[in-house]
Parts: sequence; C-alpha cells; structure tokens
Amino acid sequence: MEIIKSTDLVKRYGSRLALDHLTASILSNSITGIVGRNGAGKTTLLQIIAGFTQETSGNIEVFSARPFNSLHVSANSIFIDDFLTFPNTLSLVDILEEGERFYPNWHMDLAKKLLAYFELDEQTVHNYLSKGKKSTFNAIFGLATRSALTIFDEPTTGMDASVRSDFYRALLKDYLAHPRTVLVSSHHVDEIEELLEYVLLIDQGKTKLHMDIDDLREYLIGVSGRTELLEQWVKDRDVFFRRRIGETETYLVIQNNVETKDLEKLGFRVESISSSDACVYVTNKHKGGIDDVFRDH
Amino acid sequence: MILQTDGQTPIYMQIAHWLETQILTGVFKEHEKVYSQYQLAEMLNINPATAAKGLNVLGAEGILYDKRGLGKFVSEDAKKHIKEKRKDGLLHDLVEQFVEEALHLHIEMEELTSLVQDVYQEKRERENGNN
Amino acid sequence: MSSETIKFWPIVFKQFLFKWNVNKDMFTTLAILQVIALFFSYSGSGSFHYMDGVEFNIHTSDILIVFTMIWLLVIGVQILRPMNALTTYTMTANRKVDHMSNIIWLIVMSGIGTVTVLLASVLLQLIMNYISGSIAIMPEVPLTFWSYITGAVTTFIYLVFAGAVGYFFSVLSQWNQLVKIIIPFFLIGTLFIVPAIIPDDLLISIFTFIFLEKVFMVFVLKMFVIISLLFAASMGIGNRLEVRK
Repeated sequence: MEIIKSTDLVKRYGSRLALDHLTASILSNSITGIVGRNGAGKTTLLQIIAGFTQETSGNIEVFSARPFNSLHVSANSIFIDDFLTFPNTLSLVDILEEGERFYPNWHMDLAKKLLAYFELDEQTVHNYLSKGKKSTFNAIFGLATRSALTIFDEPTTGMDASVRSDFYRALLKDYLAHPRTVLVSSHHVDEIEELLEYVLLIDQGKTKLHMDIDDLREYLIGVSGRTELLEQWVKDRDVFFRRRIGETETYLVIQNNVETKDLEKLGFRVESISSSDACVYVTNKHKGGIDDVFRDH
Repeated sequence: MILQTDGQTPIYMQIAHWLETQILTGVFKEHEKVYSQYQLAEMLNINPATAAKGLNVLGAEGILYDKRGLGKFVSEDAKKHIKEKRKDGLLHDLVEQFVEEALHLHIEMEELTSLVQDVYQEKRERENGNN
Repeated sequence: MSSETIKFWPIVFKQFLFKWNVNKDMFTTLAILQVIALFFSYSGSGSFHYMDGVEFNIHTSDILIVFTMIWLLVIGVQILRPMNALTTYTMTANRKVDHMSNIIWLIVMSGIGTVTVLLASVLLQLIMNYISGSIAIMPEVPLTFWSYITGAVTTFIYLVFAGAVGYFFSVLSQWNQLVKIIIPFFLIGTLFIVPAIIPDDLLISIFTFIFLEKVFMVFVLKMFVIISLLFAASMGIGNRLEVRK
C-alpha cells in the first residue's frame, strides 16, 4: 500500500527550484533511506510530506490526503530534525507528558527508559541540553510517538558514534515490535545500510534512483585494467567515474550489467561498489572526481 | 554469525548460507521451525525485509517450506539437498580458487595434497573434540 | 500501523492544555504588573478637599485595567513568535487548530485577568482602609449587583479586545515582516504628527466609539462584532502560513 505518493512535485523558493518534478512513492511499513547531496532537495521533500511546507505545483498525497494543513497527516506523523522545537519552560519529562497527550500510540515506558539509558536528566529544560543531547532527546521523542509515519531528517547530528549506533538499534527494535513507515535522511548511508529496505536517491530536485538496498549494492561495479583495452571495451557504455592508475592502467565505474566472469576473462579486475559510493558516483557531475580540479598542474 | 558488510556477498545470501550451515550441522532438524524474519532482524541488526529475502531464497530452493501463519520449517531432504548444492557449487568454486592460487605460487600437486590432508586432519579432530 | 481519523475539537482542547502548560509563567508577569499598578493606584487619580476638613481622594482601578490590557496585548503578540509557533506544530496541529486554540487561550487568560483585576481592586480598597486610615470608602457609582457585573463584563471585554488586537498584529507580522516596523512607527507617529495630518476628530471618534460608549448592551454588541472581526481576520490571513524550519 502506498503511504506517500508524489507525482511531478515542484517547489520553488523565489527563483530557486528546490524540487523539479519529483515523482516517487513509499510503501507502508518499510524503512526507506532518503539520500542525496546537500541542496539536492531532501529536506524540502520531507517538509512537504510532513505538511510543513506547501508544494508549488504537482501532486502529493500522504495517507491519501494532501499533507499541508491536514490534521489527519499531522496526527499520524512525526518529523524529527534539528529544528524540532520544544518549549523551554517545560522540563524533559513534562514534554514527554505532552507527547502522551497528543499521540495515541505513545509509549511512555520506552521514552523514560531511553532517557535514563542516554543519561538525560528528566528535569532539565530542553534548551539547556548540548547539541548532541538535544538530538538524542528529539530521537527518543520521535520513537516514542510510534507514529504511523516517522520521519528522521539527519537525526544523528552531534551524536557521538556509540550513541548513533544505539539509536539505530533502538529504532530497529521498536520497528520490529511496532512496524511503521520510516523515512531516514542521512549523510552516512553506510551507517544505516543494514537498517534500510529501500533507498531513494534525490539529485537536483529529481528522483535519481529508487530501489531495494540490495539492488543498489549491486548497481555499479568498479573495473580496472590496461587503459587501451578497457577504453575500447567500454566505448558504448555509460561511465560514471574514471581514474588513471599509474601510466598504463585505468579504473572505471560502470553499471553492473555484465558477467564478472566475462570481464575477468578479458584480464580486467572487478570489484563491487558499496551503496554509499554508488550514490556518490551516480550523482557525480565530474566524471573524474576531485582530481579534475588538480588536472594540468 | 558476523555479517560481512564489504559488499562482496549480499546480506540475504549470507543469511541463506548461514541457515544452510545451521541445518547441515543439525542445529535445525527436519520439520523444525527456523528463525523468523523478525528474529533474524533482531539478532543480526538488519531490516526484516532483508532477512525475509534470505528465507525466501531457501524457500524457493525447497530447503525450507512455509506453514501459513506459523513460519518457515526445514524440509524433509534439506540436508541432502544442501550437501549436493554445496558440493557442486560452493565447494567446487573454492577448489578452483584454491588451485588457481596454488598455481600462481608454483606449488606442486604433492605439496598441495599434503596441505589438504593436514588441514583436514586438524579440523576433523577439532570437530570430534566438540561433539 | 493503521492511521486513525482525527476530530477537530478534541485536538483544539489538547492544544489549549498544551499552551496553558507552556505559558504558565505568564501569571507571574501578570502578578508583578498588577502589583506595580496597585502602587500607582495608591497615589490616586485625583483628590479634592472639602471645606469641613475632610479630604477626599479619588482612586480608580483604571490603571489596573490598563496594565492588564497591556499584558494581554503582549501575550497576544507573543503567541505567534517563531519559537512558540514551531512548538505548536511539534504536536498534532493544523493552522485552524492553532488559531482556535490560541483564541480560546486568550479568552481564558482574559477571564483570569478579569478575576485578578476584581480581586486586586478589592485589595486596593483594603489597603486604603488599613494604611491610609480612611474613614469611609464611597464608590462613585452605586454598588449594586448589576453594576458589579457590568464592571466585570466590561473589563473582560476590554481584555479580550487587547488580546485580539495583539494577536491580529502578530498574524500580520507573520504575513509580512515589515508590519512589525511599520505599525509601531505609525502609532508613535500619530502621537506627534496627528494634529497636522490626521484630524483630531477621527482619532477622538475612534476612541469614543470604543471606550466611551454609554449604553452597556450597545457596547457589548459593538465589541463583540469588532473582536469577532479581528479574530476572523487573524484566522483568515493566517491560514496559509508555512511553518518554515
């Protein structure tokens, strides 16, 4: 069942086009990673889905309703990001109690236990927390709502490594206990890979790739070998990345629609490309990477 | 069971492999229920859909069968099936790699054979010690 | 996880309780303001001597009411400050719910303001009695039950009015940032430039229209219409604002 459906979604801020006819749909009870470079449009998309921002044109449906100003969408979703604001006249435990008031699936027990685990004092005021602890509290709040649609936009900013992995583990465990639709946008794809079922890669306001995480892992391959032979063989193919190795060899990244055995027979070496690298290569503007800047020097 | 996240083998294949080994070594007997996708997800810290894929691979190959609403169970001839599969597939590939490497290093057949015998002996003893 | 259909008024109520909890410290401000007002009232609005050596002092609770009106004006403006606005949307809300719960909260605060003003006036009389050694306290207007009610209702209406004005201003400035600058300047400007540009009559007639209505029922009706218009306009203008993060 499609919980979120967007067709030709456009969002313009003045002259800047943040979303350029973006089309995608998200299935219910799944964990999708929203990936893309800075400024690709991830946050804009998520804010429109959550109903905070209005689309300029195009169609967007969440729970079969238009999200902006929709009480239905607001009641059944939670959007966790850096700017999540809590009143600074309330202590953390007061905030949790307000959450319980609004969210019918609220799990207070879990929230309190997580607070204790991450060493957050129930009586502190949200504003006094350090950046990392704020992110942690926000994440705990998000998990405790058990909202049908849970969106995390860069939830781990400021968290140290052990807190990050604890958070993802907590997310997985609660997801297993209470399935829901989860969207996670993060710069650290490799960190959340195992957690994901799908990946939606956004580039320049458009859907670049939308696939199973396993398909993404097998999407591209890296091939290296003697330059002349390789270039000859790769003539009619799309090359996502190219780098010279030494005097005689070249390393290329291409789509994985060849048999590895065939390539190896030709004397080339083949290696797999991780999903986070695949995302980088696919959205590369410069096929030679940063080395292009240093060329001719 | 530690998952290899270097991208060489998809995670769902690793799960399928591991479950096969569990069946081979008798951890799961015939008609016994194997781990559910949720149990696997919890144990290995992965998405349950990935775990489900691994289970489905074995289901498709007839090594596991489905009991509606109850989960996946080990098939009647699972052990035999796995042995054959591995002999023809995995073991064969391993031997090829092994021999290729040996050829690169210019190792002769006798040295190769005695190496295999030594390691076989060692592992056999260790396994007997465990049983 | 299935999603559930949501009713409007229960959410409005929940938001009201939420805002109530968040803004409890407003009462401290109110208390402080009223204490200051009491000090001013103590010195009296005027006095006159009577031949026989009896001194009359006139005290009104006007200052008390004015200060409380200012308080309501300020909290009306504060509600839609970015910090408060964002907080609302952390919980379940849409713009209609937001406005409705804000309006209800303002009305409740006005009610509480009215009660505190009434109590403070009594306090004022007690202070007068014990501290200044007055012999008698004579109300300017006969203190009947009906006049007491009228006084209370009038105070309440003034307070709601102040809150509505503040809220309207707040919504306008959300819609256009310049409003925050233009309106204060305009108001301050009218203090000085008025005689030259805007005829006295206009300002005076506005003032009279609101504050000097003699017939009670007409007053209630007038104010009801004005306040409703202010709130309706606020809800109308504020319905398409984006919660920009």
